[in-house]
Amino acid sequence: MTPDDLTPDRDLRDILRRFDSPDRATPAQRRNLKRRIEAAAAPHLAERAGGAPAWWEFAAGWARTLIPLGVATALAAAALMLWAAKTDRARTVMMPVATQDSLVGSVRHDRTSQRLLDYLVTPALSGSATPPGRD
Amino acid sequence: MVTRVRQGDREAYGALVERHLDRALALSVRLLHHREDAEDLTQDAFLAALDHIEAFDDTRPFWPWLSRIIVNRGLDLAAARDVRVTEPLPDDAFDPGQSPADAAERAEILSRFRHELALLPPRRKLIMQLFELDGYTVAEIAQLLESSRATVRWHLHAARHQLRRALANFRGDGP
Repeated sequence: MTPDDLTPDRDLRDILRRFDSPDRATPAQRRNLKRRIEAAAAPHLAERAGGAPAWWEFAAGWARTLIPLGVATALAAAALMLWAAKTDRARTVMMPVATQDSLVGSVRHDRTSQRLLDYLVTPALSGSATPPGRD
Repeated sequence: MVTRVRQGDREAYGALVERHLDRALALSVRLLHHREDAEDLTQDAFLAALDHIEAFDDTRPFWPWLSRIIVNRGLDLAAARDVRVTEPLPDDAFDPGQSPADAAERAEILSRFRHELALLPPRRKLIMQLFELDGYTVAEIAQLLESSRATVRWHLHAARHQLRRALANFRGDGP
């Protein structure tokens, strides 16, 4: 027997085969492994695909932080507005702003065009007559 | 396909994994004798292949390149674990049709064979299993292990010699 003699040895092969019990993966295990490999490779592939990730990848990355923060802020704002609307003091503070300083407020209070013009111009004139900090 | 993978094409990479996954996993199991470790090795090898894909010569087939990554890493892992794998006795080690004396002798021979198999150095054992069980040619094994054909032949010869000695009585040609 020499190293060049590689003729098949059936006995040896048979017995080796009997000792060989390859731990084969089931189709589900194979699928999971493939998914795992692809998931692990995704950032490397994204890097190759174009350097900077797309905007939705940033959004997806921050979604878990920003969505709860946004919802909490919206709820707090809604609660504050409800509280303000029900409080008398808040209503008295808010009313002059709504009625006097807004054009929409003036129209809704049925002012004529001349009165509306006077109404809009007068505060400006009275303000310029006595500029702040001059007296 | 490799060109598309280089450009970061996920589908192309998925197709590459799909094409070579079975062989890669089988080779990893062959090296580590443990399916979960083999899965980790397979994943690691596919990622390493992606990281070093620029070094791959795409005029050549992909599998020999990937299999070399698996073998290099697998042999390192096996050496780091430094565990001699002992295969269990086959299910048919005890044949109910045999006389108790024959069965005992047969079990002893199989046990001796298993012992010799466990004593083989990992590289030599791998060469023999690839050749005898997985149908690799000497040239393929040489390429896989980045070794010469003569070296592979020599390892095969030595492994066969060692195992045949254990089988001598079983085959009736012993002392």
